[in-house]
Amino acid sequence: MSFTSTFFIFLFLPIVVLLYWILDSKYKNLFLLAVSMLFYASCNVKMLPLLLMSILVNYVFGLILGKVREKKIVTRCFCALMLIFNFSLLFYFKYFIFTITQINAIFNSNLLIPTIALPLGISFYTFRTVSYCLDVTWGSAKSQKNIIDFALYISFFPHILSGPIARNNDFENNIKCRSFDVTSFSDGIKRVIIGIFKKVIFANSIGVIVDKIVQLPGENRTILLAWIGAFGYMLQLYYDFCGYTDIAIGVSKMFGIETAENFDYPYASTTITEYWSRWHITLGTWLRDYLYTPVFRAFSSKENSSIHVADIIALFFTWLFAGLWHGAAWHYIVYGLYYFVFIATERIIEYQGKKRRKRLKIKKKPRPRWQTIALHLYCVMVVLFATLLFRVDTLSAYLGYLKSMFSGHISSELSIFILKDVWIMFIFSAYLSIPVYPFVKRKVEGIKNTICFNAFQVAIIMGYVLMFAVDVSAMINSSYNPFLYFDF
Amino acid sequence: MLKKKIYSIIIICLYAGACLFSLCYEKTAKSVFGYFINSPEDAPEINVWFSEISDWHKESFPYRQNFLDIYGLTMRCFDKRVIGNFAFLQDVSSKRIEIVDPHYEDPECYVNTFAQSLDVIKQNISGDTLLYVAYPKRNSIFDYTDSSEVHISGDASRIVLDNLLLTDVDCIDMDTLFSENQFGQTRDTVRFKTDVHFTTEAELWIANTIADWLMEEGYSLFDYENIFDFSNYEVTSYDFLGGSGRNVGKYYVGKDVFNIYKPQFNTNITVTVPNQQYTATGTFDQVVLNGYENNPYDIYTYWVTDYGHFGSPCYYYDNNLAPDTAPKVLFICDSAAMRTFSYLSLACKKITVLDPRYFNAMPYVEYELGTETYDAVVVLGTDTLMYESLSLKPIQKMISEESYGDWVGKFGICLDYINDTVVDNSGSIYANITGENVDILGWAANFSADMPFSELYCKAGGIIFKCEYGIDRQSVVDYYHKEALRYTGFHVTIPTNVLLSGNRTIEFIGKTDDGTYGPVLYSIQ
Repeated sequence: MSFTSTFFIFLFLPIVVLLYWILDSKYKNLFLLAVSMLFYASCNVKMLPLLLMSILVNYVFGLILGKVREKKIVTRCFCALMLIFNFSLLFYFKYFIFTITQINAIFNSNLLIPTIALPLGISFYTFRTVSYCLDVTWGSAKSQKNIIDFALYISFFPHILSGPIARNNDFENNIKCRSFDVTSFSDGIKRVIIGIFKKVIFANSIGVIVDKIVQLPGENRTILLAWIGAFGYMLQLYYDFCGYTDIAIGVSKMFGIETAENFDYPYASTTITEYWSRWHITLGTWLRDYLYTPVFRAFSSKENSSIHVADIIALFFTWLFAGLWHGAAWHYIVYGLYYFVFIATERIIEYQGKKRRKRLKIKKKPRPRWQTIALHLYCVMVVLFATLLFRVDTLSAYLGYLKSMFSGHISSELSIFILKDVWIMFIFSAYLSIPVYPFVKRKVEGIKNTICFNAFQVAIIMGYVLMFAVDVSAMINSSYNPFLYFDF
Repeated sequence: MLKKKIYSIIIICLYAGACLFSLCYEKTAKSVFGYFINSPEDAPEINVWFSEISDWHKESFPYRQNFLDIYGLTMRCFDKRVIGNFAFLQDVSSKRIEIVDPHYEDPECYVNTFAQSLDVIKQNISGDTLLYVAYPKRNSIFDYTDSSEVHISGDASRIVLDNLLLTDVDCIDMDTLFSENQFGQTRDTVRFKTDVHFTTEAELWIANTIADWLMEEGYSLFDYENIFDFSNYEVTSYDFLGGSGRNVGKYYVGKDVFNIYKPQFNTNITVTVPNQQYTATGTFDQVVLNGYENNPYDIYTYWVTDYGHFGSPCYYYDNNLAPDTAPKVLFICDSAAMRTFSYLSLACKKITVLDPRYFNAMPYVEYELGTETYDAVVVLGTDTLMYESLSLKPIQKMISEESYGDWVGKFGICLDYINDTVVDNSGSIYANITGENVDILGWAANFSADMPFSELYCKAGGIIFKCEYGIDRQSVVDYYHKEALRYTGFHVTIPTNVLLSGNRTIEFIGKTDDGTYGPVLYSIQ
């Protein structure tokens, strides 16, 4: 079942929401859990037992870890077992085939390569289970005694397939004290409308062009086409993922459950460090809290260790893991390490800058505008070349694509045709990828004149109605087009 | 705060209203809840079930076409030229929608075999009256004509035409005639903006051109002057949104106008569609233009030639007013010629139409040429699918004498069907090997002992396939009067790529307790 289907928006969601709010509060979680299971089954019924097993085992782990927290060695053993269990599952379904393929390639062996289907959302719900167990281990969360609530946290249907990666504490607080709030419910609807628009109008339309460009043989792909494809994919990935997140957050709001934001206009960043604090925020914070921080502490606590070296080492492992998390292929590893290089470099430059200012006793000056623009361009270009790694199947395909960006014919009839097709959409979607809407919203909310304020509110409502009509028109027209991040 | 709440309530009410309306909308409710009620007993997996019901809901959504209009308008606002998965392209200069040919393959694989098929046709008609009509080329959205980046539907017919011009097959290039503006129509005006088909005017002129060719070949057309004087028709116009336009609505490139030319002179036609047991006799208006008498007219209506019978292998148009001296013509064409043969039927004695896209065409062609005496065959070329279907490869049976040493005894074999097509074992056997698989049904027996084999194998492309053997064959029992030969039927499926690469011989090998029989070889040319 797709979020951008008329069936989901007009039949499934309203019925579920209505029943949910009619039900007594003690049955709400059970009902939501049943709906979540049904939703997951509608996407991938064969993998439902795996999800249930993961929930059950991690529930038990959580209970045990909660009980043995005082005993360090026992805690560590169970924690290790929990990590082995969860990451073994992830390894088997996501990385086993890759590992066997690489062993065969390196050692010239002939090991049988099995056919293993990737369960939908496994990367996301594994991170939830791991984060829960580690929080319990470290004492930052209590072990969840109610299996229904725990199962709901893991399998909550708006989040299960592509996040956001919520924390158990936040989720638990939400489901304990929720009540129907008109404003929140309406905000949820608006968020869903915006999310669908981003997906079906921007992401899908641009995606058609990107697919065509990437499929072209290298010799037919002009420099212009290659760059259009690269920028297009940047926009497509953003609006696809961001659109999904908006829908997930919006649907959650309709159930009275607040979800952490996952995107904060990442393409407005001026450094790669800033970019990753704005892109897939919940993944970034997960990696920071459960990988970077423990590794950093482990290396910085050693005798004679430099915190900067520990920082770099922790960054290395974090980004290696981040790359691998996205997929089982070399180009994903390169993706992670690529970002590691830039983030580490920025860290070093920042540290050196601080050191110099301290030595010279000067304050940090505000950045001139030209520098902001230049940094913004730097950030966009770095992200552009990294994002391309997602679109190709192999490293050699990536290198081939890069080659077509810098060599060959500059343009062709097809290139001009495609440029004419996308330029308005590119400009519009690129403009909206920077924080224009919050700026406008602040201005509108600051209007003191009642008539103007009311007029704006009516205009906004009409805008949403129009946007919804466009959403529906695109949903009716499109064939099934799944979300890109479902592959992770 | 209160105002914010009021506006929030408005948003919620609007959403709830939209959901309620879509739930109660008659068509949606009937189809979605009908799906629940009529679900098959062996229900599909839950994910398949959800997917199907999701599709149903989408297809029966209220005011679906109005929403598609909104979609087209939105795309227009963004000046989008590509709609769908690169299926439709907007040619802004001439404001029309082109279809990208999804079936396009390198024409090398079928051009030569298509020409061979035309040779077979020529051998089966009297005289030299075979005509290939190349349709007007789609407007290329690129300035150069040989775009290897995007194949506009219709490109393939040009390649086939270039190939046929080197042979002795008569060819007419409608593209040249329209480009030269010989009929007052140009390439721009002969096609709908929102549909792959040609306008009525264009098809009338194509019919006229074919009629002129028939006259040049010495045939006397019935009432030629009247029929091809277009002032003798009453023209009725309807707004039209064709197949390409349905996905984007009325506002993307606008609507078309579908003109119907109703003859103002006497007509009497019998239309027969054999596989639907349909026959109708009446005036041209009644039997050819009447496809929608039971359905309400709407903007998507295709007029002329009862488009509701689209997809049938063949149609017969008998002109009850024409004398026997008027020509009988076999048309091999697709829906692009719907109006062409309809209007041409007014001047001919009989027109038989074979649409080769939905079945293996050549056996039907040979059957028609074998059962009826046609004066001419006209092949109208448009899409690659047509050429694939007409590109059948002949299989000839040959028995290798060298293999006699391996034979224990006599091997009787007969191929009955290849890909659901009846096989004539007395001559060349045709097989459509452009699909994914070749399905062969037949029977085989050990005639030394008048018994079935214990196993039957088929070897193709170096790979041995075990046939499903032992199928009940009453017909074999009846023919040879031997009950022992009952369970001699076989079925085998061979992947086409096995036959297309390397060795193109199929061998049948039978095994019994006392040895191996065969091989009986069939060679694909």
